[in-house]
Amino acid sequence: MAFEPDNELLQDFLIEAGELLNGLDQQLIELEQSPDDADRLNSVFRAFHTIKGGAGFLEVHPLVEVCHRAEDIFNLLRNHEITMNSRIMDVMLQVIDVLNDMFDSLRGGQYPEDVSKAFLKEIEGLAHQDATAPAVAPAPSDLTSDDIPADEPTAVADEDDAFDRMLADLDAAESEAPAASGDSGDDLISDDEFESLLDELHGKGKFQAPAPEANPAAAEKAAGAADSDEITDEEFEAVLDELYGKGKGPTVAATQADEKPAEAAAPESKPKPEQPSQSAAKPAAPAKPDATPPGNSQGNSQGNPKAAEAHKAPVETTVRVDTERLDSIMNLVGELVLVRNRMNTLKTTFENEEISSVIATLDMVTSDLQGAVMKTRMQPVKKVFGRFPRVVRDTARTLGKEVNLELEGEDTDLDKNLVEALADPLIHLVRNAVDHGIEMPDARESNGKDRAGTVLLSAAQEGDHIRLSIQDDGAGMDAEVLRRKGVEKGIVDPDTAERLTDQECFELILHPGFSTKDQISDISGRGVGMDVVKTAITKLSGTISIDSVQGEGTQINIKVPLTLAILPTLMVIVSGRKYAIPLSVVNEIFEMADKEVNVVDGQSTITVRDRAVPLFRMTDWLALRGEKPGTRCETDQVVMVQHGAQLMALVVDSVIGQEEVVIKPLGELLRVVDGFAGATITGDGHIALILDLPGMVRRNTGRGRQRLRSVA
Amino acid sequence: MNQAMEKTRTPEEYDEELEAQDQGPLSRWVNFTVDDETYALNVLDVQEVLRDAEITPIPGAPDAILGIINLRGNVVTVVDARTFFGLEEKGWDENSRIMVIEVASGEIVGLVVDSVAEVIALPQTVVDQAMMAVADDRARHILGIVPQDEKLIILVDMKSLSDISAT
Repeated sequence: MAFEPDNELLQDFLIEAGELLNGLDQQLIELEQSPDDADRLNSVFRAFHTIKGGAGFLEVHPLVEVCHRAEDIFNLLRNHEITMNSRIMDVMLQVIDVLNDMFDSLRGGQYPEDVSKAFLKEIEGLAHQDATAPAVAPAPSDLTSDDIPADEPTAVADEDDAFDRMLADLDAAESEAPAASGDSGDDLISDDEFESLLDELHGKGKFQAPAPEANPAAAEKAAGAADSDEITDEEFEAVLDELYGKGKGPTVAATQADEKPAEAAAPESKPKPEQPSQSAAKPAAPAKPDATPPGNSQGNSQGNPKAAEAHKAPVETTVRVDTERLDSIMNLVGELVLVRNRMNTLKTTFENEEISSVIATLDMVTSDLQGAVMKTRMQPVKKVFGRFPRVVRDTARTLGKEVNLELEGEDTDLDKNLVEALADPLIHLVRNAVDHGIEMPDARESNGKDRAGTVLLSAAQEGDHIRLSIQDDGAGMDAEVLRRKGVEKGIVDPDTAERLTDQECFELILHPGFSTKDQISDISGRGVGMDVVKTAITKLSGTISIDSVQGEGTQINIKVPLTLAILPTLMVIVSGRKYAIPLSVVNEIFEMADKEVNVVDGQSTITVRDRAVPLFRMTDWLALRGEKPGTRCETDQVVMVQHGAQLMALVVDSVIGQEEVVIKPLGELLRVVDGFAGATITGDGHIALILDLPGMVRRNTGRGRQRLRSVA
Repeated sequence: MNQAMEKTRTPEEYDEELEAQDQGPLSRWVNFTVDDETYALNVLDVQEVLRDAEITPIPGAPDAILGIINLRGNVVTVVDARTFFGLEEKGWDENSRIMVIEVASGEIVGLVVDSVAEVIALPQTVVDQAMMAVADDRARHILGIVPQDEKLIILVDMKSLSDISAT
């Protein structure tokens, strides 16, 4: 099959193998902690093997070559012929990077570039660590398959396994070049592999009836064509019977079929009668895709490498759904929520008990539906957290630090969009924690701390939002230094700087252009990072706060809503119009009447629990052209909001209450207008603008506190 | 939406009438007025005409933007044609209409005009001639001017409405 970027099989492969690849990263790091974990070694081996199989089928040769070699190394590792060391780990992590690059180019519709021979050699070289050559193959020699692409004769010599080499030499000698397919070889077929193959066959079988039915026929044909010396058709058919006849539990089949793994491999062969012995000896994994006839069923058989992971997987209960479809369901539910809100508003006008009770039921069902649909979009934070062991390890190594990463609450569920959007900010924060937070081992020791620092990354659900925190036990931050830097860089004026609380000082680092590291390192310190982090978090209607104790460490807390699609808001009325304030920023609401208002330095302030809070009239902020600024009146209510570390008191005409709204984006024409996150259609069919507090503040309290009437 | 088209003769009838006069291929235009001038938009650019809608104003928006409306669950920005053409504001009256059109960015925008009159059919040759006559860069939205029944009809292209926020 030639390389076709929009091939459906390729897309399936990218999704499935991509997931395996993501998992590999974390598994490798875990392996470094516990190098003798046999299960994990096996699962890493299998992952490489599965990726290789798929890539081989799709004829993505560079991918095959890398995976093949990585797989070899892990095969040796799990057979205890070599032991895990940091060199292997380093190279393997590089392998992951290389594979990721290849996946990226495949996703972009590009055939990946060949890997440098030097790198391939480097992987192979790992095997020679303590070369204990033969006695490898537990399988009977005539059943062990090996296939070295003939256009790659160099690869032969580099195989560690002496037995392999012998076989390979034979093969290479025998084969005339064209016969070699792109599928790279496999050293030996173990029980595990065979089982995973069986798993795949069975898992798929339950999914798609035609595939398994087609399977025996195709395999038979292939076997017939192959007609190898060692394997007769009868034998092969017997295996197939076992596979499909009694094969409920793979283990049963495995023990019996075990002895003849090569037979299962037969279907892989592209029938070439003139070269029978070779084609029969193809590896097991690629057998699976070829065993099914071309067409859609291939996609199904191919698209299930996960089965290899789930050992004795029970019946498959999950369905893969395009996120676009979920998004559209979410939108529809959003509309339904609006209708529900509207019904609730109308309910009072009917004064009919029956209607009321129907509406009440609708209300309940809608809420449940909303929750259920939201759940379908949830993913565990693990998806993001999984990358961090690697990030921390790499960063710490580069800097010569010792850092342990602890993860907590990885199973916390989060909206898929949020999971993706949070990845970059979190990576930045974690790197920062390692780079800026944790001290050098010697410095730590002299301060009476462990040489190794700890970074704790945790997630937890708190009501309707998720709290993520990154905590390090490093040097902490010095509020005084930050204050000074803030003044030096012109971010705050000296007077203001004096009045900043410690926490407000810490939050200075969120300003653009603020970096306390005098030297810019590769990792952090360009002074753009924290600003970008903050912008990203704010975009997710989240908040970020920093707490630090000098000498003890720093904790950065991020609060984000559970989902982005539906926003809990506080509905208020300003100048007779409805506005929605995201509930995430609202601290408290109180009556204006009984509070004292003072004017300090031209700024109205209100005293709340002995704290002076700047007071802003929303009628001023949200005045239309030609409207007079509002004046104080008896019924005014104050909404206390949190803007960064700062509290602000916003005066509104009245507060309606809490409402969950669906955000409708404003059109392109309004992109120049700051201060609105979008609009929503309220329960009574009207439109309410959703305030974007940071934008609102920027627009109204900018330089000289000028009222920007028109941005145009 | 069709109820908003004021005349009862269908565009197809117009076509037949004019084609009967043997004037070649035709293009159809929606006539509307702003400050006593008659303009016309290609019928393909107009999605619908609204008689009435509650416009929610946006504090801080450019002058020409009147606000947003709820068009069957979608939020649509509404622009005042008078302000866009550099004329005095007039306010809403019973003849005012919102023409829902698609602008260059692909965004759907409402354009408030003084009134929407009818759909007329113009021979393509007449339109082509009119378009050649206008080459003023300052009035990019004006395609050409066509004489019709002792009046002049200004053919406009509102695609450039999307530039409004950049001015």
